[in-house]
Parts: sequence; C-alpha cells; structure tokens
Amino acid sequence: MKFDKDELNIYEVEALHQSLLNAFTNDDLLLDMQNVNRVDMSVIQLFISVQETAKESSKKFALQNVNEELAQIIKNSACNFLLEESV
Amino acid sequence: MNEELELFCEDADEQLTFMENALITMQEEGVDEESIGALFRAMHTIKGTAGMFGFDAIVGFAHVAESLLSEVRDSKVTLTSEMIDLFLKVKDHVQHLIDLAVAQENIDEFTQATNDELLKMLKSYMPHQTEATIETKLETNTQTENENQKKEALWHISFRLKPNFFATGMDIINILSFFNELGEIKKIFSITSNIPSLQEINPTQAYMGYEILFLSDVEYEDIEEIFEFILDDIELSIFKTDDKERLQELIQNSHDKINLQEELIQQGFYDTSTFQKEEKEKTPAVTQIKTKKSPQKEQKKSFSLRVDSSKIDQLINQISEMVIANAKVAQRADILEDNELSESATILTDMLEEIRMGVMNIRMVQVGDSFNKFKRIVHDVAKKVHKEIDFEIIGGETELDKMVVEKISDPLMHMLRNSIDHGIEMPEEREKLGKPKSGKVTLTTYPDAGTIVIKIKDDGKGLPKEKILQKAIENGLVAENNNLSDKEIYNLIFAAGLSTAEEVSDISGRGVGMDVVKRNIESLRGTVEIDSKVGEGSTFTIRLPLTLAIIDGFLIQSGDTKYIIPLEMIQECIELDDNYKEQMNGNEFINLRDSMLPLLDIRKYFSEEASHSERENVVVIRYGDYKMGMMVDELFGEFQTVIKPLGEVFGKVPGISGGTILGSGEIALIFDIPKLMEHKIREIN
Repeated sequence: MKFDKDELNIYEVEALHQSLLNAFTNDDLLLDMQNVNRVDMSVIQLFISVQETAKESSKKFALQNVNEELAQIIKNSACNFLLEESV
Repeated sequence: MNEELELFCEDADEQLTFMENALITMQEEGVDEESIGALFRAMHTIKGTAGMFGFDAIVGFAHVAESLLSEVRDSKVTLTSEMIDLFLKVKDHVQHLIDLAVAQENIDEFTQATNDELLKMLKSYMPHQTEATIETKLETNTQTENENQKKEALWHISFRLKPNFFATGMDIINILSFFNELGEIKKIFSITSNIPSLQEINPTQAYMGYEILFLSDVEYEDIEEIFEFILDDIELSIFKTDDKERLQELIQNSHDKINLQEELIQQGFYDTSTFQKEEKEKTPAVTQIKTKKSPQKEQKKSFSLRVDSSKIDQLINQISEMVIANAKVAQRADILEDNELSESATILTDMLEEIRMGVMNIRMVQVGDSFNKFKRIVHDVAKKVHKEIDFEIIGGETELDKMVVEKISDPLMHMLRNSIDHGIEMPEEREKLGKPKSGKVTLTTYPDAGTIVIKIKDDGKGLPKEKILQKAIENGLVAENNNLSDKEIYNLIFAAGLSTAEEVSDISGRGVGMDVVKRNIESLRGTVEIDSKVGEGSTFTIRLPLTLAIIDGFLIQSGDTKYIIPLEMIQECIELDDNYKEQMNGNEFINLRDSMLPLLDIRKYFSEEASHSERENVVVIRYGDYKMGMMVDELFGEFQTVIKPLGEVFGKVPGISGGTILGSGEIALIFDIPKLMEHKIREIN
C-alpha cells in the first residue's frame, strides 16, 4: 500500500483504518511510506494496532521506505518497534 | 477555536504583554537583570507552547530572539535602546505570527519580509554566532544553569491519553519533544497494551500512554505546565522516583492490560528491590496517599482559574432574573401578610445580594493590567512625532468591570494619542516657554461616588478655544451669536467632523474619532468632560459606572411612574415642606444649609400627571462636582435594580438610561443622572 500524502493525521485516520481493514483480509501489509513525511499519534496508534493484529495472524507487517524525518517522529514517540519488520 | 488553542492565545497574550511592559520599563528606567531574565523566560515559554501546537514559524523565529536574549542575559551583548525597540517589533511580529497560526492562515509575503528583516537584525547583534551555535547555545545555557543553580532530580512522569484526547487537536509528539527543553529524558516507553486489534479499534479514540524517567532541576509545577493545555484530557501522575508512596499508588490504580510494575522493572525504571520493601506497607500507604495527592497541584488550582467571560455573563443574567423573581415573592408575602414567607424572602434577598456581589467581583479587574499597554502606545507615538513624553499611570490598582475596561481601551488610546500629537508642544518650543523639555501626560483612575473616574491630563498648550468655536461656526454646528460656556465650547471637539489640527497626521487630526470616543463612552453609560487652560494643558475626565448589569437603586414615584435613582449618587432625601416652598417663590432653587441647591421637577420634566401623594420630596444627588435636588412624590427606598435595555423606540429618551422590572411586574425607569444634570446646568446657564 502506498500513500500520496505528505502527512497522515487524525483527519485521514478513519479512511486509513478502512483501507487497512480491506487490505488486511488479503495479504501481508507492507506500507510504502516514501511520500509521507509526518504522522501524528492517531496514525502511529493505528499502525501499532495493525502490527499487533498482524503478529497474531502470523502476517507480515512493515513500514517501508521510511525517510529520516518520519523515522525521527516515530522515535520521538517512543515507538521505534514500528520501524522493525514484523512477521 | 478549541479550548486548548484559546488557552494558548491567552497565555501567549499574557507573555507578550508582560514582555512589552518589561521593555518599556527598561526603556524608561534603565536595564535591570531581573527584567532581562523575565524577558528571556517569556520568549522561551512562547516558543515552547507554540511548539506543542506545531506552530513551526513561531518556534523558528522565537528561537533566534530567545538566543539573543540569552546572550544579553549572560552579559555577552549589551541591551541598548535600539535593541529594546527591536524587541518591541519582535513582540509585535510574534503576536502577528500567532494570529496567523491560530487563524490557520499562511504567512503572506509582507509578513515573510518582516520576518526575514527582523531575523537579520537580531542576528546582527550576534555576529560571532553561526546558525549551528545559536542552535546549541540554548542547550548549553540550560546545562550551565543546571550546574550553577539547582540540584537535579529524577522525576517519574506517567500519563494515559483519555479516549477523546485527539479532539483537543494537540499532538502528543510535540509535547514529548518539549521535555528536552527542560531537562533530559533518561528513559521512555509507550504503553500500547490498551490498543485494540485492527478490527476493533476506533481510530479516532486514543488508547496510548507513556512512562517517562526525566532528569531535571525544575519544579513539579514546571513539569505540570508542559501538560497545561491537556490536563483535562489525560490521566497524569508526576512524582520524584524516590517517592515510593506515589509509585505504589500509580501501580495500584493502573488500568493497563500489562503488569505495570513488571514493565517498569523490565524497562529499567526501578529494580525489584524497590517494590519488595514496599510490599508490606502497601495498604496503609495507599490510604495515606489519597489525602496527600499532589498538594502543589491543588494549591495552584485554587490560586487562579480561567473562565470564559460569557459564562460569568450568563451567571449574572440568571442572578438578575432571580432578583426579579424574589422581588415578586417578597411583594406577594406583603400582600398575604405572611410573616414567615416575608422573612424567608428577606433572607433570600440578602443571600442573592451576597452572590451578586461575589459574581460582580469576579468580573472586576485592576485597570493597571490593561492600562500598562498604553505605555507602549505613548512610546511609539512620541517617537513618531519627535516629542519627549513623561507618561505616568496613577491608580492602576482601581478595579473596574472587565468588559468596561476592554471597551474603554480604544477611546482612551485615541485621547492619549491626541494629547501627545496636539496637546504637547515640540521639545524646543517647550524650552522656549520655560517648560520642561519632556511633556507630562498622566492617566489617573480612582473611584468616586459609585463611579470610576479616569483622567487624562497633559501639560501641553491647552485647547484653542477661539479656533474650535470658529470652526464650529463655519461647520454650522453653532450659531454665530451663541452664548456658550468654556466647557460647552470644549465639548464641541466631540462633534463629528470637527478637527482644528492644521496638519493631518497619520496619528490624529482627521476629525474623525473624537465623536466616536464620546459615543463609546456614552454607550457604557459614562460621561466625558474637558477642562483646559491655554499654555497649561488639558484634562479629559471620563466618568464610568462601576458595573453594567445590576445596580443598587432607590425607588421613587413621580406622578404615575416609578423611577430608579442609582443609590450611590444619592446624598440625602428631604421633605419639600412649606418652608422650602416659600423660599422657592416660583424658582427652582432651595437653600439647603446655606448653599443653593438647584431643583429639577421630575413631574414637569417627564410631563407626568398631577401628584397623588400628600407630600413632596427632594432627593439630593451628587455627580462629579455637581449637586442637584430632584423633586419627586413618593420615596420607596432601596431596590436591587436589574438594568434592562429599553429597545430602539424608548432607548433614546433623554434622561432615561434603562428600565427594570419590579416585583409587581410593573416597569420602573432608571434615571440617566448625567443627562438630567446636564439639562439642569444648561437651564441655569
């Protein structure tokens, strides 16, 4: 799954949730973050939820092509584990 | 605007006003270390709180200003008069950036140019600093301070976001970043165990939390301040790591799906021994903690509370309605001759009076806080017109209704500008006249007989009486063969379109303004008077009512109508007996203890029907320097008066400022004493 937006936040989180639910039924969840520079806590929280759910269903979840700025935000939120690939 | 953003604006406004006052004071009285430290802290706070909202433009700009202030504080750069002017501009610009950010507007070209120009000027005072050193400078400063001043402590900060947290619009990541401004985050981990699965999660609800070990020399209040805007939207616990009782309380009250104690040990916050020792004392410790819970926090809360002023207005309206309803009960008790009910109504009246006074007091603010901003205006205007002004505020501690203070602000500003621009002479001219080079402008406030008096006095050239009169005649405002008193001539400057300024400046002189000033003051049920002496200066005296909603009134009747006189203006009531009537001999004066008291016959003035009363009375009132007796029929006594507007049709009846509803449901009209007084004075003249 790839995102066009520079920033993902509370305003998009419901739509994002729906897309992730749809995508989750099929395959592993690999999110291409190439275009995303910023996320807020609501999005981070949703990613954590996906990561945990994926773990339980033995599916693969990963944030890919995370740029430096985004990585820093995730680190600042003390959620570094999101940057690790999970299977 | 959401509540958090409103709080941010109020907070920033306070910091900026504080900054402005400190700068103006230093400009006048010289630089002092304490004010510099305070300036630095104000800019630092704005930067920090703006950062919490993600207002990057403000953070970036404030950061450079803060760096220069830090240099000044460390005596590496000397604060000059030019720099004070620069910081005043910085203050204005930050205010503008905040306005834009709050309105979610983009930075326009002009603002960007100002921004760049100011940054360039700020940096020019720090030539040895590169961008990178400016960046690290503040951190170094914090470190040095830490070493020099206080002992560091290790704090445990624990918080959980409440489900509706995201509705605040605050991003917790920005708040976490702010911790680095105050100290060092030693350890941090997020609590994610409460986040539901992808199928069950409501993505707009918050489920997360944090545990933080924070090393800093700051106090409890400083850490709590980081969460200032979201205190109601999180569950927060702050304590020093050696406070085992609070730690036990935290673990006991945890609703997390993980075992918090184990997690804290695993993350290296505490070792196992910390909990083993406490295990035995667990129960009593918790009971103790409940009563001890964060004493600092409670003390601070009881100190001040921000409340939306509309909530207080609503409360006043409700009390007003209760006052009216209670008056009905009291009257009914009288009719029924029910003593018990009457007594209860009296008790209720007293209680309502106390509540009313209490609520009114909430609205009262010291005028000084608001008037201090005039220092800046005087400073700027004086500079612009190349004059030297010694400006003084006297009686800043006088209290006045907040709304009145806000509404009087613009008229005062206009009058001050006029005083400086037109009143005060140029320094050379003043020296030639043997006056001090600096012109003196004083803003004095004091309470007087139920009103608040605000005086603007200057020692300038005074009002040009002939010129004003000439202009008024030219404009057809007065007839050529008029017989106007000095005060009446001065009052002509309040007429629309009358300006005697020979040169129109961008400060004043366009002839618009003074009429608006008068209208604004009158809309507050106030009056304005002018006194002036050529060569000596002018004094503008504004008189305002203390409050706008409920007043203590005195109920009287004249003819068939009941009227209210504001109680505080009443000096005494006397019976107009035959002796007095004889003295009057057809004139409207009586001799009251050897002084002449002009009388206003209310029945005649309002064309009332003949009196039904057996005796006539005179209510002696005082307003400012004037005294007058009002001839009325019946005196009923004190009455809590809820002021109701009269609406468009009756709103402009001269001598009446409003109406009120009596217990019987009857209407009583409230006298506009200044207007009645003005009528009488005109009649005498």
